[in-house]
Amino acid sequence: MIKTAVLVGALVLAAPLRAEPVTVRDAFDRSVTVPEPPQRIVTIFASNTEMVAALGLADRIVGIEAYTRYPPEVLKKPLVGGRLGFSVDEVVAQRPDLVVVTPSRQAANQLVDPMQRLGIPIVVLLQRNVPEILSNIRLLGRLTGVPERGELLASSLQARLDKVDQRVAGRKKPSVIMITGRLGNGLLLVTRPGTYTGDAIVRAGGNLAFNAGTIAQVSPEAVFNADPDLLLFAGNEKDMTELIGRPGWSDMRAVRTKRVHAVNRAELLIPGPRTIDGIERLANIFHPPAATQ
Amino acid sequence: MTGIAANNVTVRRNGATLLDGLSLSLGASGSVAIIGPNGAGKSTLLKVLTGIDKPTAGTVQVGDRDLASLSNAQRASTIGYLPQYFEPHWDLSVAELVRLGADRSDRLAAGAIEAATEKFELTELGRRRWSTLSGGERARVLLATVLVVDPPVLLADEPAASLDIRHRLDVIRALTTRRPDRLSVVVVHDLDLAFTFFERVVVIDRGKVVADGPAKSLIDDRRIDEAFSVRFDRLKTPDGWLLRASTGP
Amino acid sequence: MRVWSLLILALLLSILIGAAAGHDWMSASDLLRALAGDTDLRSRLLIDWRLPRVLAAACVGALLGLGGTVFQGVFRNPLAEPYLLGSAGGAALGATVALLVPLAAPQSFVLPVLAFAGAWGATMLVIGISRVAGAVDAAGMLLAGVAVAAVLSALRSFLMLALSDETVSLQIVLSWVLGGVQTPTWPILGLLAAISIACLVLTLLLAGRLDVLGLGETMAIAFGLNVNRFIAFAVLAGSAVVAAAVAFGGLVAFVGLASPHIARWLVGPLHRPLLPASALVGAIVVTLADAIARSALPPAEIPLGLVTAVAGGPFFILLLARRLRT
Repeated sequence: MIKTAVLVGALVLAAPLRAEPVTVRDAFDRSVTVPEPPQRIVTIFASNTEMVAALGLADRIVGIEAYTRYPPEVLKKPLVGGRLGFSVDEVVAQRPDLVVVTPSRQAANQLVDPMQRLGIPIVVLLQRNVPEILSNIRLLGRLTGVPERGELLASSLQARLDKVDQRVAGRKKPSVIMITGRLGNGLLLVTRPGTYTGDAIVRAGGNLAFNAGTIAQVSPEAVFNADPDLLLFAGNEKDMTELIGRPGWSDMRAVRTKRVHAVNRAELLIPGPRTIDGIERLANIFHPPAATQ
Repeated sequence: MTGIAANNVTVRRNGATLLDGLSLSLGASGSVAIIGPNGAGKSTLLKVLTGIDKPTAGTVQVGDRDLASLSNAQRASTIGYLPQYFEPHWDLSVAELVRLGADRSDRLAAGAIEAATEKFELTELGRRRWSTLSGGERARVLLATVLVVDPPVLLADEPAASLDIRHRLDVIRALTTRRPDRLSVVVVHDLDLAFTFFERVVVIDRGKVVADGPAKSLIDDRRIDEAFSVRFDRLKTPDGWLLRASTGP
Repeated sequence: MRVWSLLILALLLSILIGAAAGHDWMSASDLLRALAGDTDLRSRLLIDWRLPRVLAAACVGALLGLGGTVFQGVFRNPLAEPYLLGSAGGAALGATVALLVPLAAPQSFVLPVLAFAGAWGATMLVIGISRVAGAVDAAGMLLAGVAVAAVLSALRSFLMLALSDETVSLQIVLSWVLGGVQTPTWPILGLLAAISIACLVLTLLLAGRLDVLGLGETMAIAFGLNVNRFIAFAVLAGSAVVAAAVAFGGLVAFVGLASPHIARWLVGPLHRPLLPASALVGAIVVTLADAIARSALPPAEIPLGLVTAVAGGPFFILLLARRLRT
């Protein structure tokens, strides 16, 4: 029932009733204008694909990049880029009337200029914190001719954020280190402040143990020294167990007190609607509902 | 007519004195052999006279001018230099090398390239590259490259020292049979050749001129023996001199 | 004469191939239609996006060919190349500073100036080190170059790690390091073409003296060349050429090394024919390498510098082996 209602709603909203141009300002302070609601959208990166899909516009997506894994209905769409960069040719071959990109892995650098030159609207989105994810959803809603849907989605996500906020307010914040990757040279990638993942941890009622510095690579030694209350590992349990089984890790407070958790990469490392799911889950890890302070 | 002279030239390098207040006046024409033991300063003297090395003290006079006051182009077309060892970095053809030699003069005589090519028997070799030439051919190419501008002063540093005797004789003949108004100064290793082919011989030892004079009269000078620390037996032959050295008393 | 017509023909052909190449290969009729002024998106992609890039790639290749020829001529070393002697690394460091460090002057001015200063400074450093070490020969210069290049690349990596904000600036620096010709606007392409021609004229003025220097320093002085002053000037000119190439094409490896060699096989070692021939060879090589970069692994684009390095590395090893054998 609900699914049908959403579908009907989406169809009604998606119908090109209003053909007047829409203009927005993107993250590069560029003015982006679409003459009418775009019907052929190339979304570069999982986050942008997920946001457009969450607006009920998955069927309008005509191109994605190779590391997009969600939602299932877009996975058969043509690939326009991958690890080695993005192809102007492939994007143009989809004849898009909107390209959505994030400045990562060369995407903005490789695509903004040619699309501008060919007159294809291209919007650049940044997400340095959680509110920016919500404002990106609103912006995409406006740009694709479904502003109400964007507003609805953003405010329901905001309501969930507020609920988390209320629940964790006043609680003692555990210090947290989140390991997001391991480099071949033994260094670890950790979540930095000033990123949406860092913001997600703070919103879930945690404190970043590394709260300064801009270099994401740290040595395990720095992690031992910081000795956080909680250690998060973005990945699966098996890899996490292997990592903390290495020499030195067993002495850490978080390991001794069994406060080491594997968390879902997709929820915390893709700045889309699912990030809110991730924040709710983190809040439960930091402040278990049953526990009393 | 351009003579060349070293006035009180001293050269020091890394604490060693290579030339020690050497003075030597070489006339505007004729052939001069410079001989002396290893390390006497022969090569250094030639390089200073050419302008390749700068003297620590003293001056070099070319004609009535100081060598240092000549422009690079004037110096290059007045003084020819034949190095002891020559290996071009790029594998140029014979014709290209001779042309490079000719290019250093801005008033090249008409037909000079053809004349030099013919004189040193290079007509057949024009398109051959340096790396494919034999030692004797290389020596001829080098002579043609340096002599194509027919410089008034030619300074040659033991050329052809590594060649077999026939080619060595060819080179020495080419250097000593230039136009009568030209000067050839040649550092010579082989004393027999020095006294047989050259008009004048200069003996250098430890950075100084120790003997100097016409080949005919200098041949009996015992200072040659002193300079080389040997005793020479001087044997007159129909063609020239033969010096046989012995180290005994 | 036949060699020149063949070279020019090959360049035109590679420009055509470059224009046709992509994930979406254009046929001859597509090319003709686009050139005739068709307004379809594919045709406009070709004219407005691909063609300027192909022509820019040709210019960058020509500059690398010229720069490599000048450096090999100055150092009289067939293994010398801008990439190995640190000047490309210096230019890249200069450009990285221009891109990442907030400076008062506009970037369009600072970037080429710092790229040039970096190229020149690094080359002078290499010469200085090999002079001080008393090894002004091929091996000494190469070793000093390798050391300087390593230091420069470490400095650049550190700047990138410390100053990057994961947004545009870092991406531009990265695309620089890996080498890649950016599509210029038509006026910028005009500027690049003018710079390339100016560089050709400038280096041709050095041709005769490079030949004389090739006879060895002693002979060069005897032939009337002020060797030290000429080397300093030629290094400056070579650095300017390399800086221009790096400013427009990033670090494209091995083209500066290989082009003069191929050109020497074709027209011989005299610099007057060698310089334009090497420029043509460089233009052909980079145009084709760029075509491969854009079309080999769809939908991705391989950085141009990786393509030339993969092709050029074995070439370099071959040269080294041949040299060591003789």
